[in-house]
Amino acid sequence: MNMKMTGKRLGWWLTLGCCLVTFLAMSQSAPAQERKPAAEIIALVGTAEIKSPSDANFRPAKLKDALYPQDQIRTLANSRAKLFCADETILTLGESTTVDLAKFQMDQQGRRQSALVKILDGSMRFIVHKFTGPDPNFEIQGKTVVMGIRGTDGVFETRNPDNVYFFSGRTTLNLRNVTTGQIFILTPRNFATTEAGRPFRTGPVTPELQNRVLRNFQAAQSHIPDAVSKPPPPPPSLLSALRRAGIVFGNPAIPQTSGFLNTNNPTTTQGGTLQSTLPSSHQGLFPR
Amino acid sequence: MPQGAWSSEEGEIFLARGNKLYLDGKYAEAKEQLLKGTQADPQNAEIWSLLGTANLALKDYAQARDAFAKAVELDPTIPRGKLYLGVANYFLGNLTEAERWFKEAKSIAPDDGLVHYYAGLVAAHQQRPKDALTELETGMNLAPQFALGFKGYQEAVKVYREERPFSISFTTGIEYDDNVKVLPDKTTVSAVGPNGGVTGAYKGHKADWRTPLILNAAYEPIRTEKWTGGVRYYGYGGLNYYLDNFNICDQLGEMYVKYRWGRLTVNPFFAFDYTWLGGQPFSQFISPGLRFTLLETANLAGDLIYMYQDRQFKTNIGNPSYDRTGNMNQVGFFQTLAGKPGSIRAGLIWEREVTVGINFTANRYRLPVEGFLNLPWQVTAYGYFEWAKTACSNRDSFANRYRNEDYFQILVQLRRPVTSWMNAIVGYNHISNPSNIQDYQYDRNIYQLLAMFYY
Repeated sequence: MNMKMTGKRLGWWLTLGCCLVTFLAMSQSAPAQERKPAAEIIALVGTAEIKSPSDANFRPAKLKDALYPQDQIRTLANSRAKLFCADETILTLGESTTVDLAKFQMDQQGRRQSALVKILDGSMRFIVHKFTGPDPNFEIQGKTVVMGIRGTDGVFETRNPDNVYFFSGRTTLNLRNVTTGQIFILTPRNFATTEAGRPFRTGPVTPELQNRVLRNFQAAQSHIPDAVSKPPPPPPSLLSALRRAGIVFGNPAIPQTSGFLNTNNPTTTQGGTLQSTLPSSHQGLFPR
Repeated sequence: MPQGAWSSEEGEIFLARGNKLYLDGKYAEAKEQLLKGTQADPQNAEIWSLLGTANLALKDYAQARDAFAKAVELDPTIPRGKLYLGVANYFLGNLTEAERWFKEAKSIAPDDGLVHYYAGLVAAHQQRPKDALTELETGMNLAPQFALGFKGYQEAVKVYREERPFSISFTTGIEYDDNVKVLPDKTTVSAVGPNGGVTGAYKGHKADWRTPLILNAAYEPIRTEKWTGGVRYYGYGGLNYYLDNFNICDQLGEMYVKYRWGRLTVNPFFAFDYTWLGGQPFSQFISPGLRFTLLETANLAGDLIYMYQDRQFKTNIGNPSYDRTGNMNQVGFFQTLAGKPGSIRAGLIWEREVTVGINFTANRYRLPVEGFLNLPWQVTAYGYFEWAKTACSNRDSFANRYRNEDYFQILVQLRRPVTSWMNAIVGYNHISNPSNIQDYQYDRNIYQLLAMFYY
């Protein structure tokens, strides 16, 4: 009986121990599943807004705001936003642009596994950090075209039609028209235009065209260091000089003659003394 | 947009890294990345500009200046490039250069409050307070979020508001004077007194209420870097309510020139002072003099003054022994200490008065101390204290003794602006003249409530 009870108790304790170990193990693995930011806003001109999947509406964005996979960001008119992704990809949103960071996965070593950015409307400049894998694992999707990217610099416009400008890069861009399934390899210094149900149209990127397109993505940021917004207080020498000039004692000899002790700066009415009596040198001689 | 500004993908990545590090407050690391960026893409104005900003944050002003100079050279319209180039020059003490860049920055971004703030700082350092105040106040309107950082400068230049070459003020009010006649309590002289030929205590009133009328004007038409010259006028009329034969009217005029030579200012002056008492001429002083002012330290200045005074100065009592007409030689030495809470001046004066009559020829040693103190609620306190030792050179003709006096007076006034053109003044003045001869002993108390109107 006692042996039976002891065995039961042992089983109960073992079960409890197993549960505890499992719980602890799950607790340990929980942080690994935490959402990690996909990008951060590092430059902002005008107004941008962010929306997470759980949000009903967009909310105002500010510098240093983090964006997570599946977040959306949009810029309003005359606005720009520059995102610095976890893999050091740089995305610059032009004005009136909405982008969905649909997918952004990194491996344990901090390398990008795959990324998909959807441009719902507007235009975006991309500088995608080069990677060493055999296939492009960064995709940008517009309305009619999906693009796989390696290390490269270009602009993707999703208006009607979709335009892709390829400014520089050591590789090529793989474009696929989602309406026709046509695949096109875009080489550097060329652009491609895609419309639904139509073949790609291409042309060269001239310096003038590049400048014209890139002008829309200028997001040069002007930070204000504390050293500038909070300069050191006026040095004592300046304070002293200003004070002396503002309220100074007048000629000390003259009051001895007049006795009116006028310490005014000749052109300042803030200082000075009003002496209503005759001076010492006059006194003592009144008629008695 | 410059062609090269977008030419390097690598430069853009260094720029983005630097930008992120800057936003994280890691300025040194940001600087490191941005320096690499300038090597990767030396034609990218944005990288140079952010490098300059990181240097400003690190207070490496010389490096900031060089970086912004490069950024502005590559892209003259880069945001705040010219402003920060001016800021770097300002912190390096190159005020003229800073001012030039602020002017250019203002032409690009006239609504940038920071440009106005810094234009104000330069103007303050260049002793142009009016410009400084205008710029600082414009900055505060455009960018009030930075106002706190520049408040000290605004306060400092406010004292300079009256920079125009002329000023005029008129003061009046009411005073109570408990010894209008400046009489001793008792006299030993039988020849004088209100009833004539009596000795002992004086009879009749010697206290009265009074309305002073004070006009103060100044004009300083010469103002150059080295030279200052001007005139000032002081007119005083004391209208006693009952003792009108003791009304005083004084007219004082002074001409002066100041020449600045380094830290030394040479100031020749000429003053004319004419006084009536009870409607009769009382005194006329003509006073040429020379004053040297040396700026000893940032807060301390010294004055050395010599003045000669020609004096027509007598009453109508008809006794030539009491004729004070003559001349006076005076040498004074003063030290003035100016600081944030106020200013104070203390001095020592020796004067030798030689008179026609025998009763006033004397050596006098005076120790005046005066000061302003800035109090809360815009109240300024002014205090004046003087002690004077008079040692006569002749025996007094009535007392047959060498007169010896320890005159002192103390004056305290509190002033507060009521409007932008009027100050209210409340004051108290006590004068005492202890003397070894009773006829020269007196005490006097004056209470003031005045309004000063100025423009």
